Amino acid sequence: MAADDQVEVNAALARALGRLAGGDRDALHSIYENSRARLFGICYRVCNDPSAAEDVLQDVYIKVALTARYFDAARGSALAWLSTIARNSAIDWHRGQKRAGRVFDPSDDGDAQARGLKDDYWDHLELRREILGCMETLTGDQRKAIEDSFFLGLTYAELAGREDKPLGTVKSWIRRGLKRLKECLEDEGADGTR
Amino acid sequence: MKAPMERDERMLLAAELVLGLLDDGERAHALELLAQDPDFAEQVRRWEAHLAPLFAGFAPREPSRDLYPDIRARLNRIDAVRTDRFGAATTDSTAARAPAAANENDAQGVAPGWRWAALGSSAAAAVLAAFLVLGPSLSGGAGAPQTNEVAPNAVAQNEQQAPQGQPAVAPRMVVAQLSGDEGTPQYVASIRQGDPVLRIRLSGDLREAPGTVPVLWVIAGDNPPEAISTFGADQTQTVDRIALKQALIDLIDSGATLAVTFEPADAKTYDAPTTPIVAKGTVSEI
Repeated sequence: MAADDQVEVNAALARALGRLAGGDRDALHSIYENSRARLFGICYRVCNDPSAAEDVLQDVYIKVALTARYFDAARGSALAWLSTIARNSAIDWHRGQKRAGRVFDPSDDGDAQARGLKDDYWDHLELRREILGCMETLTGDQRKAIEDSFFLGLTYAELAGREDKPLGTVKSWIRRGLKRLKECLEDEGADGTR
Repeated sequence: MKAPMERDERMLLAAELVLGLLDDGERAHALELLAQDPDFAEQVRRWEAHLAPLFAGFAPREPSRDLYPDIRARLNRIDAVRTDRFGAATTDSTAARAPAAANENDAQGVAPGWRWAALGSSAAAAVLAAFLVLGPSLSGGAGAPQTNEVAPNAVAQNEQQAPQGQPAVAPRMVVAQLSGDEGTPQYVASIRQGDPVLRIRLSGDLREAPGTVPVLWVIAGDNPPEAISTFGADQTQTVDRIALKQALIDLIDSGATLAVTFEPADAKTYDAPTTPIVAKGTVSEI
């Protein structure tokens, strides 16, 4: 999606979220049309189960319809707000599976290629140069651990299992990486409330 | 001014919460902090904003079919339950109306919207106990409507515990057991589907300190808590009735958490909790 298109989509989504917050349930349709592939991509990757991901996606849009009043365009884009709900919902599903005794198996990732990152991932990050630059200041281990956490929604313990590393090591990678990221963002002046 | 170490730890905890790195216990602690500490909540918001560009890394993918008809049907069913009993659904409904002559056998009483909110967190026995505690008969003592404008004088109405009526078909209800830190049940809240009234009853031994008043909050996801109402003004009564705005019913429908704090009784408004959460829980359908 080109940057201009994304701006347009975000504007349309923000308008529709405003209508939804005002009680116009029909506005949900345009939100679905303009975001389903993005949100399903998130659910699919985090759930690692296409059928479950579709169930979670339905839950996401119900949640969006019922909580649209919390969207605040001053705090971020509509796509980011929707994506956060999708990712959190998928993580909740994942945690529910764990509580039900279905343990994440790091080797059970046969569809990893299909769930892979977009090729132009870093191109998109150029939209926000500060985070791009800052991610590049991390060590390879730090950056990979933070990315795996973000894209797979895994806990420290799951990441350690996946990497076959001690929990303390993974925790240290991530915490040092996050500190470095924060310092870098502050240096770049990106830590304001904008 | 917080000590540098503490600030660092809180900054990291905020990032860990956003990333989903915490185990269940740590996450519950972080979510509690989020609900009660605006500074921590701001840190969480900033990390969400910092990391948001990473969402572009998820490859878009189409679902196997058009899910919108199912989504809309679910939403319609949630709305239909309300509309059936209260006329046209409105978004600014602030008043509880006296329950209509409810037809409990109405097939529309099934509201799948609750289903996903019930994440299997409640024990059937606890829910059944809650049901019995509050009583299934909700037809009496409606009294005057109550709005959700939370001010010291906007306390919930009290009602005597309903007699143990035994309708032929039990109404569908959602119940939340609000527990303290040790998992001890302290309050039971219930809402009958289609009825914009929340009932809450003390089931544990919690008592507010003199000069404070229990305030019920709703917390949807990682959003700031919103006060529903004070309650418990009349200690001779056992069940408090709190009328719910449409928007708050939406939040509870979305699977939000209900929480209680003891706030200063002389506060002019209750915009955010100023004291620790003493009990919390999420709703489940019975």
